Amino acid sequence: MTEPSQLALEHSKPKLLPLSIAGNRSLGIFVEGQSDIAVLLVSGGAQVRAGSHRMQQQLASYLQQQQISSLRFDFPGYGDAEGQPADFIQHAQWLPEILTAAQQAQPQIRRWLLFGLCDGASAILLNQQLLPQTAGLILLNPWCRAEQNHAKTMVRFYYWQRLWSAEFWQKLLSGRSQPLQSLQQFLQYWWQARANLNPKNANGSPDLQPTQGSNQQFLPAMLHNWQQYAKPVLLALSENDLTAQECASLLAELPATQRQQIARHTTTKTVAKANHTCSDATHFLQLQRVIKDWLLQNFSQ
Amino acid sequence: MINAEYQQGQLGWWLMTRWQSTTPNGQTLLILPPFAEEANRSRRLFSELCQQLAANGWTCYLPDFYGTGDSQGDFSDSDLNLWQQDLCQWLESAKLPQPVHLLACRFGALQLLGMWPALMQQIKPGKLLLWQPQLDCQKFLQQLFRQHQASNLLQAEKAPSASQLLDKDLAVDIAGYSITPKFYRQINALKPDLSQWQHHTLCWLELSTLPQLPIPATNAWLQIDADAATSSQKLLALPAFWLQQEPLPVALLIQESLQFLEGDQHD
Repeated sequence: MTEPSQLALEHSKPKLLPLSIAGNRSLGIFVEGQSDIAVLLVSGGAQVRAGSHRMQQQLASYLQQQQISSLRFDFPGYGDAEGQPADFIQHAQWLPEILTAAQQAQPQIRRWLLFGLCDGASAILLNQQLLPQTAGLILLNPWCRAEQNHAKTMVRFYYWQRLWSAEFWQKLLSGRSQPLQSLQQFLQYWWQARANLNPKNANGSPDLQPTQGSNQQFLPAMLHNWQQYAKPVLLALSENDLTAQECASLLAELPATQRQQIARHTTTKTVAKANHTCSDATHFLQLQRVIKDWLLQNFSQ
Repeated sequence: MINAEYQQGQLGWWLMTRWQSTTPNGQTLLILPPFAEEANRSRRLFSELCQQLAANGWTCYLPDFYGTGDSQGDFSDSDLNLWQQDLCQWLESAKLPQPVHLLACRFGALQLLGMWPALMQQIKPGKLLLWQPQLDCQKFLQQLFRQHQASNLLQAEKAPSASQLLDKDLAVDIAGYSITPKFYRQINALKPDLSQWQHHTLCWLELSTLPQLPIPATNAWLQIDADAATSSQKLLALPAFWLQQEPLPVALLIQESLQFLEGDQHD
């Protein structure tokens, strides 16, 4: 007979789930919980399935402790997966086939939630075909950069924070910084922010011009889908993160009706003092608590 | 074709990823990955190399040691002795075709030197490929602590350095990775003996945009005193892939590696 500790260990052994994403082989890791709820962890940026500083691996362990299963994977061209790297717009297109494969492999799971960090969160919101198959979304610092909110956030958040940082003054006093160049950059952002003060379109929505380097008009589609999504959403925003501030600023500038539609099913929580990936252990604990509370509130049955 | 399996180690499950061919040719590669975030950034390159080798009949293995990558445990569980025990235990049961060729990247090279005597009990080493090896314990720690120093600069009050905290038996959080006093002591206690590699077939690939090999790399190569007929140290004008999250064009690194591993050289 197997020892109880051995049984516990056996139970917690993660399962490997071979996936095919657009014909590229990728390995998923399914960590089994005790309930019918699972979270599909969608990596952001160029991250591997374990996540930056193993964030997704740690989150999977935490979810398992809450009886919730999870699946993490590599997008093609990243980590162990075959294929060429692609951007989050493409990732959004691939998510339905990944979720379908997960549903087929784990039929005991009745409710699939999606977790995404940064442009992983944006990818989730971008696919209209995917969203009806999900029971809820956990969005951590979604990527919402547009020229307008980027300039405003730089002025209100980045430069203001820099003025209060010891590093800035140390650099300035030691002559290691270039104050004129910084001032020039600041004025450029300030001018952009002012120029875009009221650039609302015919619908009264902010005029969302993506910044340089982004050739996709993803923000209107993303906001539209978020607005239409009727199931619970947790929006977790790191206090010390430019991307999070841009998202907050974008939402704050939406017309009241659109804002209210999003707010109706979205719980917004701030992770105090945290950076983009909540790399500090105490901040990650905060994030875990926020997720746990939201899960209890919305999925306790 | 990629596959993976969770292995039961001393403290819990750790992942061994495997790339293999449907028609294996008996050639085996074992990879020792870099440390912390560098391992994430290198993963795609390991995958690229292993996919190409597997297409040519090789079987390649990449471990996520306990507490790292997709294995169980916390990073604070990092323990060089545990990793060595887990790997040696696996090698004992895996019964790999010999010789086993080795690829050590960054910190993986330091780790390989540390576990070399124990590893030799389990395998007959074949060719040894080094990607930007980190062979100096103190330099490894300095580079690691630099990140801690940078985050300290953002704080208003002067905070103690990473080494001060570790010397006081306190764990230090560096960019989301917890470095424990135990792991710090293990690194400090390592006495890397480069001469262990003297009689092996080596290829050291150093990546730099500078026109010449850095002096520490040249000195370490002299210390190894490898046979010039079978071994080489090469400078590749490529960017530092272990520092960048975004994929970088490093096809030359893969090409050179394949040439060395598959080339007709003595083992």
